Amino acid sequence: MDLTKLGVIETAKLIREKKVSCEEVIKAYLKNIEEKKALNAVVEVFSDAILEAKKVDEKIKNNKPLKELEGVPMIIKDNILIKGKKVGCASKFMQNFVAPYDATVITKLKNAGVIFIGRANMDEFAMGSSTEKSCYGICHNALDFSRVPGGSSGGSACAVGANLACATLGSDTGGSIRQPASYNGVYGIKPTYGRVSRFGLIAFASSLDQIGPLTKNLEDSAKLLEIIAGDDEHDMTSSKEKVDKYSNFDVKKTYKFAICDEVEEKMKDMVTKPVYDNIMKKLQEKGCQFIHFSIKDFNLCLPIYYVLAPAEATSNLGRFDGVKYTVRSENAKDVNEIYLKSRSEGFGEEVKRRILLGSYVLSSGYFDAYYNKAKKLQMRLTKQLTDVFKSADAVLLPTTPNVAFKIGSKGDNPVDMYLEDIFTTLANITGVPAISIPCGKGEDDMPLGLQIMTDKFEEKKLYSVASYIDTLLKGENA
Amino acid sequence: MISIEEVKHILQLSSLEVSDEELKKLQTSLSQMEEFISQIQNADVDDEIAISNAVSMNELREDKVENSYPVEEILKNAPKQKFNSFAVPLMMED
Amino acid sequence: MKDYEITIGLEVHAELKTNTKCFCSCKNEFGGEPNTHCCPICVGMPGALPVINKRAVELTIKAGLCMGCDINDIAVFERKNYFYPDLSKAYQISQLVRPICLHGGVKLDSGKFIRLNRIHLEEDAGKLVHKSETVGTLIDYNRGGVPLIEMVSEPDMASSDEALEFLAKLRENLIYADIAECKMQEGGMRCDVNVSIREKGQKEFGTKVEMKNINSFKAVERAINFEVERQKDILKSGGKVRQETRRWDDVAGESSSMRSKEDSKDYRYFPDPDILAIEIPRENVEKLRKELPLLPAERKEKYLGEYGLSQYDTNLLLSEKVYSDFFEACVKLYNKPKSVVNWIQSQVLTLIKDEDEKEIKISAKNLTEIIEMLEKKEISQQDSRTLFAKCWEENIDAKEYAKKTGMLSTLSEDELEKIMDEVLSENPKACEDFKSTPDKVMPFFIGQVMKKTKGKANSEVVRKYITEKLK
Repeated sequence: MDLTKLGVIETAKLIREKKVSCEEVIKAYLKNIEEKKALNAVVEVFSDAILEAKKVDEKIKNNKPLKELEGVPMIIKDNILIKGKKVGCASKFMQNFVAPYDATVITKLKNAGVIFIGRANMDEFAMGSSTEKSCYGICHNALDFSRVPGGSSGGSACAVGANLACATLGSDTGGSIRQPASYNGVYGIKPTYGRVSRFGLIAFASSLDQIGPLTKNLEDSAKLLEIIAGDDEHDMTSSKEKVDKYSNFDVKKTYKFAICDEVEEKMKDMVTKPVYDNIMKKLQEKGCQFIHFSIKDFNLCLPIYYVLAPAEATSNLGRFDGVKYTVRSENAKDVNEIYLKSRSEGFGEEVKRRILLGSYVLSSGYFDAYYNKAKKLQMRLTKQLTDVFKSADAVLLPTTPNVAFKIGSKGDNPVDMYLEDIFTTLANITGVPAISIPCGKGEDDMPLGLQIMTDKFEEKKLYSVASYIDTLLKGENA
Repeated sequence: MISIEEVKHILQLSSLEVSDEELKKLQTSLSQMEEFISQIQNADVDDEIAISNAVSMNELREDKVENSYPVEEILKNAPKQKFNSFAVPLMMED
Repeated sequence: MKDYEITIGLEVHAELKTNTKCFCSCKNEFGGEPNTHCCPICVGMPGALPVINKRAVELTIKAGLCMGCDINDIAVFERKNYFYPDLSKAYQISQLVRPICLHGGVKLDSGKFIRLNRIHLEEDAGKLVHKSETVGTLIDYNRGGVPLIEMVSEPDMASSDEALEFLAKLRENLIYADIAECKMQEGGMRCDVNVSIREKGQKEFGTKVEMKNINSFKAVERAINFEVERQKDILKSGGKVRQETRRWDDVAGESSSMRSKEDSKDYRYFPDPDILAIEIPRENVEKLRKELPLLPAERKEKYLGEYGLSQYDTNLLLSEKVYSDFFEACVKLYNKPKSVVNWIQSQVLTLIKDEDEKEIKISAKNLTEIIEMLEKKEISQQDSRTLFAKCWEENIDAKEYAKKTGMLSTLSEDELEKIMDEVLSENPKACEDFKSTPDKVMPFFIGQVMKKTKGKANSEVVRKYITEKLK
C-alpha cells in the first residue's frame, strides 16, 4: 500500500487502528519529498518531523487517548506562522525570521494532533498566480514539470497533487487556493470571509484573505475546515457564526444551479468550454435545474480587486522595514536609507509594483476615484451575487480559463497574469465561500477545475453540492 | 500614462527606490496596471458606502492585562539591538 | 500702529487611564524596562491583528460627555500611513471620518464658549531615545499602542490666557471623570498649538502656523506669545507668514522650522480592514453618563449656589480633586456644607497644602462625626482639635475614642439646670452684684458653669436662664 496516496481521514484511521505507525507514514512522505525535490514545492522540511512522529507512536504504544487527526502530516504555506519555525513569505527580505507565536489555525490543528512536516513554496507575499515569483525559485506543476502549479499557493497544491503530505494549508486572496488546486487536480476551498481566523497569517489584503485546506478529496477538506474554522478573540473580523459539522454531507437528490450570463459570455472563447458544457448536461440529466442570472458588474471584478488588494497590501507591508525584523541593508547610513534600501533590496519586482499601485490608489487626489469607488462597487457586486442565492442552491463556473500554463509564458505586462483571476476574484470580493473540484481534462491531459459557490456561511451546503457533483463526475469516469 | 514625477512621488510614499533604468520600466508597468484599473472610473455609483460589518461595543475585548512577551522574544529577529531596544543609526531631533 | 487679532486652536492628546493598550492586552503603564510591555501586535509583527479595548472606547465616550459632545452611533477607525521608527506597523490606527465624538466644547470663566471639533481615539507611538553616534537611536515600544484621545478645538481662542484656561479646564474634566491622569511631565498630556494673526477688522483668518513639542502649561503660554510676536514682526515688515510646522524649544524660548517632511504629508488614510465599525448603543452612552461624577464646573455652581459657600472657599475646594471629593463625601454624611468647609479649610488643608501628594489622612466619617459632636456640644472645642489630630495620625473611630477618653459626655437639660443652680447658690455675693452690674458678672457665671460642665454648656442657654432666675 502506498501510504502517500492516502488522505487525512484514512491516514488518521490507519494510525489509530495501529495498522501503520506514524513514523512509517512520515518517512514515506519525507521520501517522496526528497525524490520529487525538483518540483521545489517544499522549501523546508522540518527537522523534528520524525521526532514528532515517534512521540505519536509512543502515545499509541502506551494506549494514551488520541486526538482526532493524531499523527497526520501536513505541509503549511510559507505565510502562516508556526512558533519556533522559520516563515518567509517566499521573500529574501524575510530570511531567517523565526515565528514568535502560532497562528490560530496552527494551534487548532496541533490540538487535533496534526504534525507539520514542512513549509510550502508560494509567490512572494502571496502576490502572484504562478509561484514563479519566489525567492526559493520556481515551483513546478505536480503533473507536468514544464508547467506552473498556479499561485500563490502553488507549493501547497503541488504538494497535495504529488503526494508530499496528506493535505496542506494555503491562503486565498484572489484565487490563490482555488486556481492552483484546479491546476494540480486537487480540491481547494476558500471559506466565507471571516470563517477562519487570520491571526498568524501574514496579511496581504486584510478584507479579502482567508486560509483554507488543499486536499486529495472532499471529506478531508470538510474535516479540516471543521477544525480550523471558528470565532477567534485574536481576530476582530472572525465570525461568531456557528461551525457546522461540514463532514456530514447532506446530499440531496437534485439541486438548483445558477449560471452567470457574463461568465458564459467569457466562456464562449474558451477551448475548455465543452468540458463544462458536458458537466451541465449531466447535471440536467440528473434532474437538476438551471437558472441564468446577470451580475452587471462582473467585468469589474478584476479592476476592483486590483484596486482593493494592492491598497491594503501597501499598508500591510509597511511594517517590513529593516528595523524590527527582516534583513537590513548593509548600505544604509541612516534611518531613511534603512527603509529605502532594505525594502528595495528585499522585496521582489511584483511585490514592489503592487505596493506602488496601492500607494497610488490611496494617495490624495485618487482616493475617491479608485479606492472609495471600488469599495462602493464591492457593496453593489456583493448584493448582485447574494441575491441569486435566494433562488438557487449554488453558482457554478470554471475555476480558470484554461489548464496550467507553461512556465515563463506570461509576458512582461503584469496585467496578463492578472487575467488568471478572472473567475476567482468574485468570491473574494463578495466574501462568499467557493471551492474548486477536479472536473475533467484539457490540453495535454492536464486537469481542469469546476468552481462552486454558495451563500455566506453555507459551507455545509457547499460541501454537499460539491459531493453531489464530485460523485457524479467520478461515476462518469469509472 | 502615469508621469515620471508621479512615479517618484509614490516611490517616496512607499519608501522604495529604483535605479534610473528601472524607473522607466516601472513607469511602463504601473501605467499598464493603471489603465487596467481605470475601468472602474466609468462605473456610476451614487450612494454612500453602507457600513456592512459593525460590531456592538458590548462585544469588545475586556480591559484585562495579559502577560507581555519576554523581551528576548520581541527582539529575537531584530537586525540590530542594543540595551534591550531596537537600534538604528543616530537620528537628528526634528 | 496696527492692531492684530489673534486666533488660536489647540490639538490636545491625553493618554487614557486603561489597564491595557488600545489594541492588545499589554500593560498600559508609564516607564518599565524597554520593550517589556510588548507583544506581536504592538510591535507590528507579521500576522498580528489589532483587538480594540472596550474600556478605551468607553473612556473616549466619557470624555465626549464631559465636554458636551455628540456621540456617534457608529465609529470607524482609519489607518494613517507613514514611515517613522517609533511607529511599528508603519501606520497609526486613528479616526478620521467617523470619530467617536463630535462638536462639544468648554465654557471659560468669562462665559466665552470654546468649541471642540471632535474627540477621537487613536494609539500612541513608541519612544525614540537618541543616544550617541556609536550607540545610535534606540527604539522602545512600551508606549506603542497606548490609547490616546485627541481633542481638537475650533480656532476660538484669542489669547494665551484663554488657551491656558481651556487647557486647564479640559484637563480638570479628564481628571475628575477618571479618564486620564494628564501628567504632562510623563507625556500623559500633550498639546500642539495653531496660531494665526490678522489685522483687526480683516475677515479671513491669517496663515496658520502649527507648533509642536510643547510639554508644559508654561510652554504653551510662552510658545503662543513668542509665535504671535514672530508673526507680527513678519507682517509689520511687509512679509508673509509661511504656513508650516515649527518646533518649540522651551529652553531657548524660541521656535524653529521643522524640516519640510512635516508639511504636505500624504497619509493615504483608509478604513482599517482589520477593525470592524463599532456600534455605540444609546443605552451604553446613558450608562456611562450616569457614571460621570459631578464635574468642576457643575461643582462650582453647586457650591456657590445651593451650598452658599464663598468664592474663596469654592476655589479652594476645587483647586484639587481630592479636596472636592472629600468635601462631597463629608457633606453626604453630614449635610452642613459651611461647617464642613470651615474644618477642611482651617484644619485639613493647613496640614497638606504644601505636600506634593495630597493625602487626606482622616476619613469623611471621622471628620463629620467630630463636627457633629462639636456642634451638638457633646465635646468641647479643645477636645475636637485633639480628636482630629488623633484621627489624622491613627486609624481610629472618632466616636469610640471620644467615649473611651471621656471627651464625650452629654449634658442634659436637667443636668445643666442643676449645675447652673449650683453656681448661683455657691456665689451669693455675685448674685447680689449681678443686680447692679449684670454685664460684668454674667461672664463670671458663664465661666463657672463652663468649668463645671467642662465647656459643654451652651453659653446662650446659660445667659438666658440666669437672667431669668435673677430677675
